[in-house]
Amino acid sequence: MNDRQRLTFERVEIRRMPGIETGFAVDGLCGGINVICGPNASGKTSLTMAVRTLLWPRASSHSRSVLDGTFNLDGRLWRIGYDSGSPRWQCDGLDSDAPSFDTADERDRYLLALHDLLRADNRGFAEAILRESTGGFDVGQAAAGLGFTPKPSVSTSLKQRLDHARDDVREASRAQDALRQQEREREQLLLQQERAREAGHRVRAIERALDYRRAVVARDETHRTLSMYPASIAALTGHELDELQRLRQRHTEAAAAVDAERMAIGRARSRQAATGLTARLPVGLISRLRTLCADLQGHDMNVRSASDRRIAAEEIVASARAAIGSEVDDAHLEALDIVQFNALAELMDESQKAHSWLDSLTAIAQWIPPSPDNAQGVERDRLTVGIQCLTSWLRETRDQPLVVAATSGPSRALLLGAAAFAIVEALLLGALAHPSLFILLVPGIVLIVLALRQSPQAHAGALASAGVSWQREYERLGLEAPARWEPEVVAALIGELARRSGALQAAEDTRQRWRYVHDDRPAVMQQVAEIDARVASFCQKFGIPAVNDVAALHRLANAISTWQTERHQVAAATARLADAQARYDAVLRTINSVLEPYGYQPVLGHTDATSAIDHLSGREQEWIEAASAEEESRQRLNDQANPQLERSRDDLNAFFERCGVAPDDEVGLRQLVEQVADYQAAKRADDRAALEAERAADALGDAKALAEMSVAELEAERLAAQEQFDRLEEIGQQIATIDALIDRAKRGHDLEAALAAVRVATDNLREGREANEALVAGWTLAEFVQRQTRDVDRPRVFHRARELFARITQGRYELDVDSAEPPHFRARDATTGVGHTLDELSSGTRLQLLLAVRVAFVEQQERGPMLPLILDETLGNSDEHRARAIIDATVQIAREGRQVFYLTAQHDEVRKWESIMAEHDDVPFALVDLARVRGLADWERLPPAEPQAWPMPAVPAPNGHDRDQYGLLLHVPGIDLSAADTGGIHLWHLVDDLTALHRLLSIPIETWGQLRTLTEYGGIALLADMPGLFDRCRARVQVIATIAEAWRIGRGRPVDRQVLVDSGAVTSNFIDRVAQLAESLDGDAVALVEALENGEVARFRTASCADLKDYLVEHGYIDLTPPLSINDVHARVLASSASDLAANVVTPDWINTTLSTLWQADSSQRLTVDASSVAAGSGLAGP
Amino acid sequence: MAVREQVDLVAISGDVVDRQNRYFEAIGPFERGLGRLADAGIEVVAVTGNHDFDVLPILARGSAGQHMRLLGIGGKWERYTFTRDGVAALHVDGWSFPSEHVLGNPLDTYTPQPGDDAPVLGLLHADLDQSASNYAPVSLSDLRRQPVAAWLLGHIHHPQAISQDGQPLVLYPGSPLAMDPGETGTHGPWLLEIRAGHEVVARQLPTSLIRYEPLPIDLDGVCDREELLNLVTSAIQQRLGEIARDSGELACVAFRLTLIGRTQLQRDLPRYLRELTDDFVLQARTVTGYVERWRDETRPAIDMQALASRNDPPGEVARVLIALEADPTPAAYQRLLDDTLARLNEVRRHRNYVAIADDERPDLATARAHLLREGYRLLDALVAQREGAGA
Repeated sequence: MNDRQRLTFERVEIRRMPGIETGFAVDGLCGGINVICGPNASGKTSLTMAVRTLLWPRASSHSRSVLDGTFNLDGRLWRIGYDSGSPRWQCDGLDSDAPSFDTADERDRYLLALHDLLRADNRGFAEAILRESTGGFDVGQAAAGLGFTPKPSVSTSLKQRLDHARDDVREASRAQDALRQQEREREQLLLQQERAREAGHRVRAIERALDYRRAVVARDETHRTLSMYPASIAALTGHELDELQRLRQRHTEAAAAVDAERMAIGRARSRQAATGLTARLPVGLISRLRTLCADLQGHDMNVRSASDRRIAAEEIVASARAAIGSEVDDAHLEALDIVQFNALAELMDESQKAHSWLDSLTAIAQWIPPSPDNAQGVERDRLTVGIQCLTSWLRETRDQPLVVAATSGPSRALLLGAAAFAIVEALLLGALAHPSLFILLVPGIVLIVLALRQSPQAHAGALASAGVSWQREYERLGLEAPARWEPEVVAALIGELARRSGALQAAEDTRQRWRYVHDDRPAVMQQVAEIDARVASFCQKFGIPAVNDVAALHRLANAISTWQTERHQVAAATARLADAQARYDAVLRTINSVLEPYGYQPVLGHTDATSAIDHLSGREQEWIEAASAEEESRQRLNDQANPQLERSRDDLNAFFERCGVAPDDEVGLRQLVEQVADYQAAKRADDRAALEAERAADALGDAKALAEMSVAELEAERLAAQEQFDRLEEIGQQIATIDALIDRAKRGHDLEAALAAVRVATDNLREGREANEALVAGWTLAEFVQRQTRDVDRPRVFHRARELFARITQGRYELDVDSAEPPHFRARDATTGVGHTLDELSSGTRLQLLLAVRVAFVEQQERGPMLPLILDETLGNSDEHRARAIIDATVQIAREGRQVFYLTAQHDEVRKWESIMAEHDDVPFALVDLARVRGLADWERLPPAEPQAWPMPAVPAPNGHDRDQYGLLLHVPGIDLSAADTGGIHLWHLVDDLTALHRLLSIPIETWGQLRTLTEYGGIALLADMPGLFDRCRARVQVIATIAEAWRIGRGRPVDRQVLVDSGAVTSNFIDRVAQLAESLDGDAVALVEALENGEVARFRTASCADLKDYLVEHGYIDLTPPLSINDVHARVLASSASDLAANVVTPDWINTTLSTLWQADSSQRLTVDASSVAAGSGLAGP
Repeated sequence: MAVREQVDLVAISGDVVDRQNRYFEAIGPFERGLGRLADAGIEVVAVTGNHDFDVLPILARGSAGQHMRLLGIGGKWERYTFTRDGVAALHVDGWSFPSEHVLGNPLDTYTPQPGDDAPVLGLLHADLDQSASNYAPVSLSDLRRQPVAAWLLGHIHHPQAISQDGQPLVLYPGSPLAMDPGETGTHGPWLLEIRAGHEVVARQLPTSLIRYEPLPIDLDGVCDREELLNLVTSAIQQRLGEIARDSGELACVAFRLTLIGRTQLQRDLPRYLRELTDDFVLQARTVTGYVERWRDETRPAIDMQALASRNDPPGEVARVLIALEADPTPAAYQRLLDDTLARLNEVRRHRNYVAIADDERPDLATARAHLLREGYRLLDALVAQREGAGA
C-alpha cells in the first residue's frame, strides 16, 4: 500500500439514467476489489457510467441522469449528487467544491477492457509512454504518421512497371526492327519473286520443248514399230477369222440350200409317182363321182325305207291276224266291213249298263233286310212332336229373366239356344241324311242339361209356369213324362226321345230301300237278257266269235281294221322296194365303171364308193401338191440357192484376196490376223505420236530454240528452273505476310502505347523516388528533432511499471525497456536472467505486463488521488492460466491501494474471484450481485454454479519432514555452477525455516530471482513477518555466486548450437554433426575442439577448427586460465562474505559445507548439487 | 486542317517519322495523310530531321513519294517551285538531315538562287541558337541574313514564332500535338499566308485535342475547406475559360496545380484536394478541364517565431525551419543538410531507381527543399498531437 491519496467509492446510487427504469443503489463497496456481477442489461455498464460521471460530472454526456455517490478521499467522506448535468459535492456533510484530480480527458485511462488490452502491442504502450515523457509530443509517432523512414521503402512495383513498360517497348521495338528487317527482306523477296516468275515461264517453255522432243522420239519409235508389219495388215481389222467363218458358213449354207432344193424336187417327184397318177384327173371327175355316190346313197336309203315299211306292215298284219283268231280266214276278213261294227259296239255298251244295274240291285237286296211295316212312321212322328214340345218348353223357361240373370256361369240362354240348335240339327240330319246322325242329339241334350243345372232351384216354379202349355202339349202326345218338369230332366228326356226318333227314322229308310230293289230287279234282268241276245245275233252275223263285252268287241274290230289296212301297206312297200333297188344298182354300176380305170375294185355300196372317191381325190391332191413342191424347189434352186452359192464362193475368193493370202489359206490368214491388234495399237500409237509431235511443234512458241536440245538437257534445265519457280508461292506468301504485318503495324499503336507507358512508368517511378526522398528527408529531420528533444530521464512510468510487474509476477519477471528506437518493453526472467519480448511470454504474463504498464502509466499521469480502476469483462475468453494471471495482477493492483471495479456477466468468473480472494485476506473484496441489488427475478439472475476449487498446484507442507526430506518432496533442482545468473537458485537452498519456505513457495516464490526482484520492487512487505530471511538468502547467494564464479575459472561456458552458428566457423554442411558432438560432450568447448581436431567429424577442415577454437576462446567458451583450487575458492568466498560473516548473516560452517558439497563432485564435471545429493550426505544445511 | 483551309502547299520541317521508334506506327498515319492531301490536290514538300533522316527518303521512294516532294536529301540544298497558272508562286528551299547528327551549320552551304519575284520559303530542320548542338545549329542572325520570306524550322516541339519587322519570319511550328505533359500550351500546325511584298502572316491552328496547363494557386489565408475549394475551382475555371476562347480543336485541358502560400489547411490539404480532384471536371465551351496532378508547396499558418521559443519538439522543428529558410543556412544545421543529402543520395542509389539514375543528382538545395516541405508537415503533425490531446 503506497502513501498516495486514494479515492474509494463506498456507495453508488443510480436514481435515474437512460435505460434504467428503476433506480438502484450499490452499497458496501470496498476499497479493494469489487466484483460487480450480473447478467447482461442488469446495469453493469450503467454503474460504470455512473462512477465515471460522479468522478467527472462536467464531462458527462448523461445530462439526464440523476446519481448519487459516496466516496472516501484521503480519510474524508465525500458525497456527490448529480442531477441532470448539475453536480453538487459535500465533504464530511458540508457543501464543498469539487475535489481535485485528473481532468476528464484522462478518464478513459481508468477504464480497461482487457480484451482490448490484449490487442494492444508492446510498441503502442512504449509510444504512449514516450509521448508522455516528452510533454505529450511524440516525434516518432508524428514521423511515422507522416510515413517518414530512414530507409526508402521503394515500391518494387513501380520499378517493375517501368521494367515491364521498357520490356514492352523493347518487345515492340524488336517487333518493329524485325518488321523492318522483313521489310528489307521484302525487297529481296520481290526480286526473288520476279525471278521465280521468270523461272516459271522458262519451266513452261522447257516443258513445251520437252513435250516436243518427247513427241518426236515417240513418233519415230512408233513409225519404226509400224514398219515391221506386212503392208496388207493395214487392211485387216482383226475380225477376219470371224468374217471368214461367216463367209464359209454362208457358203456352206448356200450349198446346203442347193442340195435341199434338189432333194425336195426328188421328193416331189417320188410323191407324184406314188399317187399312181400320171397327170391330174379329168376336171369334174371327182365331183361327178361324188354326185353319183350321193345318188347311190339316196337310192340305198329308199331301198331300206321300203324294206323296213314292208316288214313293219307284215308284222302288224300278223299281229292283227293273231288277234282276230284263226276262226276267220283271210278272205273273209278282207271282205268284212268294219263300219258295221259300230252298231254292235253300241249294243254291247247298252248290255254293259244293264248288267251293271242288275248287279247293283242284287247287291242292295242282299244288304237290306226286309222291313215289317209302316207303323214305325207314326211313332217317329210322335217322338218328333214330343221333342219339339219339350224343346219349346225349355226355350220358354229359358226366357225367364230371373233365371238368366242369376246365372253366374256361361249364359244359360246361350246354352239352351245351342242345345236347341243341336237337337234340331240332329233331327234334320238324321231324318234327311242318315239315321245315325241322330247321335247328334246327344250334345244338344247335354247342353240343355248344363243350362238347366245353372238354374237355381228357387225359380223352379216360375219355370214350370212358363212352359206349361208345352207341357200339356207334350203330355197330350202320350209319351213318357219326365220325372220332373225341370230343365235337366226335360233335357234328358229330349235326348232319349231323340235317340228313339233316330232309330225309328233309320228303320224307315231301310224299309223304303228294300222295297225299291224288290220292285225294279225283274225288269232289269229282262232288259239284260234282251240285249245279250242281240249281241249274239250280231256276232253270228259277222262270223266272229261271240263276245261278251264291249271291250272285246272293240279289240276285235280294231284288229280286223288293222289287218285289212296293213295288208295294203305291205303291198305298197314291196313295190317301192323293187323300184329303189333298181335305181341303186344302176348308179353303182356307173360308179364302178368310172373308178375302174384308176385301179379300183368295184365298190359294193355307197360307203365303199365314197371311200374310193375320197382316196382318188386324195391321190389327185397329193399329185398336185408334189408337182407344186417340185416346181417351187426348182424355182428356188434356180432363183436363190444356186446364185447364193456362187456369191458365197466369190465372197470367199474376194476375202482371201483382200487379206492378201492365197484363197483358202486360212493358216496364213490366221497368222496375219493374230498380229492385227498389235498392229492397230502400234498404228494408233503412231498416229497419236505423230499428232503429239505436231501439236508439240505448234506449241513450241518461243521455245523453238530449246527444241534443239536433248531431253536430258531439257530435264536438267527444267529441274533447275522448277526449283526456282516452286518458291514463287512461298515468296508470295512471305511478301503477303510481311505486307500484312507492315499494314497492321502502320495501323497499330503498340510501340506508341509502350513508349507512353514507359513515360508514365518513368514519371511514376520518379514521383515515387521524390516521395521517398521527401520521407527520408523528413525522417532525418525527425531524427534530428528527437535527438534534440529526447528526455534523458526516461519516464518514471518505467520504474513504476517495473515495480508493478515484479509484484504481479511474484518477482518472476523484471521489466526492461529496450533503448532501441522505437523502444519496446522486454521482460527479464528473474530466475534465468533471460530477457523476453512480449511475444515470447505466455499470454497471461503478457497481459500482466500490459496491465502493469497501463497502471503505471495511469499512476504517473495522475496528478491527484488514485482513482478507481474499472476492469470490464476481462476473463470472458481467458483460459485458466490467463484468468489466474489477470486476477493475480488485479489483486496486486488493489493491494497497492487502488479501488478496482471488476465487471462480469460470467458466473464462473465470480467463482474464480471468490476462490482466489479467499487466499488474499489482505485485500478487501466485495461481491455485488446487481441482479439481487435490483431485485431482478430469479430467471434474470446469473445461474448458480457449483463452487469449484481453483486448479492451483499444491505446495506440500513440511508436515514434520526434516529439511532434506522436504527437499526431496519438493523435487528441488540442484545448483548449476555454470549458470551466470543466480536467480534460478531454489529457495530451499537458501531458507532453513521450512515454514517460511513453504509460505514463500505457496505465494508462489520459488527462486532467489523471484525473491530478489520482488524485494527490489517493493515486495519486501511480504517478508515483514520473516525478519532476516532476505538478508540470509542474499548472503548465501553471494557465497554460492562466489563459488560458482571461482569454479568457472578455467572452465569455459558450455557450447551449444547457437554458439557454433555464431562462431561462423561451422558451415551449414557440418553444423548438425558438430552440434550433436557438442551436445554429447555436455557443451565442453575444450573437449569439442579436441574431438574435432581428432577428426570425429569427417572432413571438418582444420582451418575451421582453428577458427572455432579462436572464437570459443575469445568469447569465453574456452577458458585457458588454470582452475582454482578449493582453498583458493574458500579464501575468495570468505573474502566476499566477510561483511555477512561479520554480521552473522552467514556462518563459516554453512560456507564450508556448501563449498565442500559443491566441490566434491568431479571437478572435471560441471558441479551441481541437487537436493538428493545433499540429502545423501553433503549436509548442506543452514546455520 | 489543310484540306479545310484549302491551302496551296503543305511544308513539313522534319521529324515526322521516328527513325527508330514508332516507325511503322508513324508511317501509317503519315501515308494516309499524304493520300488525303493528294486527293485534295494539295502538294507536300518536306525535309528530313534527325529522327527521320533515313526514313523519309525511303518513304519518298515508295508510295508516299507520289504525294510528297522531299527536298535536300543528303544535306544538299534543293529548290522546289510551286506554280500557279504556270507562273512561279513560291520557291521552297529545303535542306534535309543527311545523318542523325549534323554538327555544322546548314546555312554554310546555302546559296540563294537568283530567281524571279516569287517569294522564297526556307525549310530546314535545325537547332536555333544552340551552337554546340549536334542537330544542325543555326543562329537567328544567320537565318535573317538570308533572302527568304520566312524560315520554317523543325526540331523544337514547343511552337515558337520569331518575327521582326523587315526580317524574315523564323517559325518553329512545334509538335502539332502535346506529346507529353511537359509540352504545355497550344499545339497545332501553322497557316502561313504570303501576301504582297512577300509579307508572311503566320497563324497557329490549334489542333491538339489535349493541352497540359500548369496553374499555380496561392492559398495564403485560406482557412477552411469551402474557401479552399472555391478558390481552386474558380482559378481553374478562369484559366479554362481563357483557354477555351480560342481553343480550335482542343477538347481537354489537363491542369497541373501548384499550391503555394500559408494556410491553416495545410494538414488537410491533401485530403481536401483529393476530394476535389478525384472527379473534378469543368467545362468551358467545348473544352473540358480536369486536374491531372497537383503539388503542395504551401506552408502552415503558424507563428513560427513564437513557436520556436518553446522547448519542445514543435519548437525545435520551428527553429529548424526558420534556419532552413534563412540564407545562408546557419552552421548548426549544416549537418542536417549534409545528412539529408547523403540519405537522398542513398535513395538515388537504390537499385529500384537505377532506371532513372541519369536524372539530375540532388544537391543541398534539393535537400533543403525537402526538409522545408517535410518540416512543415512534421510541425503540423506535432501540433495536431496536442490538439488531439486537448492541450
